[in-house]
Amino acid sequence: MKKHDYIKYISALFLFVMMLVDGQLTRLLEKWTQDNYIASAHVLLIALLCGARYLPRNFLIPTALVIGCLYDLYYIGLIGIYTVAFPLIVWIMYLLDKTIYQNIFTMFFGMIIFVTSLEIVTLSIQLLFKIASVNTSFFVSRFLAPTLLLNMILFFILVIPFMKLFKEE
Amino acid sequence: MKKFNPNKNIIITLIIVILVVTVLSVTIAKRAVGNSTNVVQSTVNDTMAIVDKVITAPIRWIESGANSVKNLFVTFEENERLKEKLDSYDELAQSNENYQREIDALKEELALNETLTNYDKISANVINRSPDTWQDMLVVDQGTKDGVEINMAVMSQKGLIGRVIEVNAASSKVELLTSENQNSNHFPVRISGEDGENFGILSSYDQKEKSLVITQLTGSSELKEGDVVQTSGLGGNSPADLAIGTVVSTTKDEFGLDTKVYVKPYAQMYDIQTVTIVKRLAGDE
Repeated sequence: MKKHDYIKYISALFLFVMMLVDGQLTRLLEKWTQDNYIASAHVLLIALLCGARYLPRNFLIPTALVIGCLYDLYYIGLIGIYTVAFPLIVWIMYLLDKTIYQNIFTMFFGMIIFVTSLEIVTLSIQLLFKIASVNTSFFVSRFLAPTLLLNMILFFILVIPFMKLFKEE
Repeated sequence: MKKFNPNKNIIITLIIVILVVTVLSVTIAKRAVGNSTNVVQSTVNDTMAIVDKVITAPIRWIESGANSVKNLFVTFEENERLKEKLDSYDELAQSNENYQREIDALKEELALNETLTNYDKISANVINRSPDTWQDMLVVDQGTKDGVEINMAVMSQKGLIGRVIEVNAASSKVELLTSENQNSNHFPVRISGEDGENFGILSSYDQKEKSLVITQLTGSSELKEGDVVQTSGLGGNSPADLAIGTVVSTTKDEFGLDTKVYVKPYAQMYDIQTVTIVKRLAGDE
């Protein structure tokens, strides 16, 4: 059996587990920084970025939709925040694939842009529906900066194993 | 053959936007009203909670190992400190017992079964925490089958930390006091100082000051730093006398009419492993 045949099932399951790992990592880090800085881990987004290079578009966008929906249900109890953000970002990944996937550094900068846009999209949906409020200086200095730093580190640790996983033999 | 129609994309986008807004509004309204979740949502959440528990287990194991090593180093100091306290402990325990007996006797005299301070406890383990920063929520492993209901108060070992916002069959979500959700219920509180009591509502969390904010203050007594803040039990959801924190400072709001009281919570909100869900006994609904 070629890897091509079953990689879809594995990657769907893998993305699901990454979603739960995101929660655990964020919780651990919050404990570690004692709530002074808030850094959200986005392992799932890094996995999607690596996946979008090799997996077919018609598979990954629906998968992102389902995962986003589960994410919303499990973590927030509403439907429509990450359900919108994840497929949207994956769609943009496919639109820009010629630019992003030239080498590992273009992927790195792509990751920074996608993490930022994920945060901004989800936050603006929540602000629009008045289920969150935030001030700008807090958002940039205590949240966005640590989040980006954390995800840069995670990216360099995880990008090679993730690419190996999704790569077709 | 059909010609490509640019309007098609616009229409599709519009339909998606309308769909998203509708779904989001409906789910937000449902969460705010606080009905119990439907079968699909409940099953999905419970199944994910089980998978998540499996992932949590090894992490917790490592965490507790690290903690016990850390504890080992501070044991000696702690022991000295506790020995000093122990001298007065027996006396305190005895007088506590006497008070309890007296309260029970007086309640019997008045034929009072349940007062505002009576409550049941349900212990729960924390499975995960929402990675979305703006929704401070914990997923815990007790649900309707264990007697958890929406809007119950939730405590950690030291004090109040939040309230139940969603209940499934075997898991539920706890919204922390640090949450910025503007649609949720607020706890009615009582501030007890030396010369009397003030009542107010725990309305928000100040991220810069790292303290809870009480507004809509009623009562005339002077507030001092260190005054104890507890739930008042007036709202109908929480019992009275759950510890929240101590007063740090007070300011006037921007109109100069209402007083804002900053409260330092007893409980920290970043490292919670187990919680106690508090069920009020008096005046059910």
